[in-house]
Amino acid sequence: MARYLTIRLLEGIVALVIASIVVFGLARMTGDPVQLMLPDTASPADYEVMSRQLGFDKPLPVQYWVFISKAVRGDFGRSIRYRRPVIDFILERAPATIKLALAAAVASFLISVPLGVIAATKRGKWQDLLVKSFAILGQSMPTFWLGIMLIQVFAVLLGWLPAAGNMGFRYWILPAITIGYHSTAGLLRLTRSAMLDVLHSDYERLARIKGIPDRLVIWKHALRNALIPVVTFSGLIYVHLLMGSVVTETIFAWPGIGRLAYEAVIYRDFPMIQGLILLFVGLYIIFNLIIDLSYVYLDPRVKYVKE
Amino acid sequence: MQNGKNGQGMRLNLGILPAFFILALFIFAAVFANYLAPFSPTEINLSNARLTPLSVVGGVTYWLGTDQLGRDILSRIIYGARVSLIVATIGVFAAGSIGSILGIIAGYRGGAIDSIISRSVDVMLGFPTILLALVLAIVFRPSLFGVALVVILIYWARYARQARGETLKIRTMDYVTLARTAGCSDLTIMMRHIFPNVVNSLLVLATFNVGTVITLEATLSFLGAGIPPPTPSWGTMCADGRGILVSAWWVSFMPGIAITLVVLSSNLFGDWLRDKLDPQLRDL
Repeated sequence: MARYLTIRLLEGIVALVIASIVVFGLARMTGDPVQLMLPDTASPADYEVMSRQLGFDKPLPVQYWVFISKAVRGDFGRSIRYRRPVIDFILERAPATIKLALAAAVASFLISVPLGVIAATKRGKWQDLLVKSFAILGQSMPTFWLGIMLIQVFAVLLGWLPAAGNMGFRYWILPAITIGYHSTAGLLRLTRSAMLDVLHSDYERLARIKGIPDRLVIWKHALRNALIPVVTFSGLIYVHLLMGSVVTETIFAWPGIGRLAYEAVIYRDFPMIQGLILLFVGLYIIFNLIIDLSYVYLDPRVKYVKE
Repeated sequence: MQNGKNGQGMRLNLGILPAFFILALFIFAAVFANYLAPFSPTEINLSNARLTPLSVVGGVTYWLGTDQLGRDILSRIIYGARVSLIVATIGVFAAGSIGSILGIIAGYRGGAIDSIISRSVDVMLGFPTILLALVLAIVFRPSLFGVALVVILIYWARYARQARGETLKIRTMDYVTLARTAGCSDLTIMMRHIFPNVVNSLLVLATFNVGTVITLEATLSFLGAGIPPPTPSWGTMCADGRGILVSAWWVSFMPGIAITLVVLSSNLFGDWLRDKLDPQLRDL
């Protein structure tokens, strides 16, 4: 088991390194930041000075090395746009996004698990049909469209909920729905099919034969086994929420890292782009590791299966 | 895997016909846009700006209304279908081909090639899609070509992972060993034995991918990093209508419905295809 984990960890680190190289290259490809920052009247001499100051005159491998050695220590450089350390911005805005993503994920879970169970147990009846429709529709609507439609209906027409900012609980509702709808739909389908799998399986029948009351059978035994693919998916949900936040935060003017990322790309803010992408990739790798770990815990069969 | 008689697909019981119909309509509209659209999609006509759906002006009906520049929404949606279809077709086909080939090679050959490809796949899958798409779209400058390239770069990994997984399962089978003993080259084995058995799940993946690609293109266009104006793209149309949501909600609403319907139909089609080809693929 320890060997399995170490291998996964090493793989993760390799992936992270590759990602950092890609990120480094990508950011450079979006354009020359020195040129962007200088006024039109600047002379070639000014260009030289600025390049040297920001370290852009050194050969690429050297730039990369500088970038990496600093990144490891949490120093992602200074934002070209704001002239402040990137890490400051990330730390400042991350909580807003994390809170939103968490809220949406929790709501997602709370909605889809019970609904998925209900749909599975009432298979074929109207409850199932309703749930299935909700799920399929949810996975087909584009997030940005849902966002602006929600604003139109609830903020503009009905005036019930605010459309931008985050000054109170009411401000969370629309953005959370927007981010979470897609994954709720997916989670719903997963829970439902996982439950269906288990409800008809052998060990559930065995539990029934043993005489355990129906309700207990469903909720305790079936659910625990159904949760395995759900846990996998949930990990991905969380990361997706972090990513879906780019669109949602832009629409709802939410002060989080999603919007930060979008603006960084538009403004060619290299250090910011690098830092953010690295952050996202790192989180993805960490989450996958956690999922692998919980897999081993939840399903003992996995321990004996090597790739 | 337990009893297979459950048919636990998520398909709605209405049957697959509505989905087929919508997809056919989508393709038809994209191909025959010139003949189908009642107006020009780019012609600006300020005197007809912001007409509500079903307005009749001077004897002609604007079925879905007009936007703030007087352009007919219905015509723009029809032409927008063309953009979506092109991106979806090229993107899915190219990403699918490249990804599948790499995946099969990785799964079959193993060793160093497998490591390289697998690590690349991991990295690509780990990248935040939207962010990566944004960066790439700006690198390649907003254009149809750029969007197609973004799609290929982002989605090839999904096919590679699927293909590799399936290949790993198959390569230990008897008929593969027999083919090897008989002296077949690796290429022959991969083409004639591995690929036909792997292609089913890849096709299902492709149909679901169509919806994802269309949504990605729309999102990029919405954010301003996709198809540049004046070419009508459903995403750009939604963005256009954002400023006048209060007075002319249909400008953003209609293209969104179009996107939803097409993605919905392709998802339903994917479900149907999966059930037809191999119910065991339910896990997708």
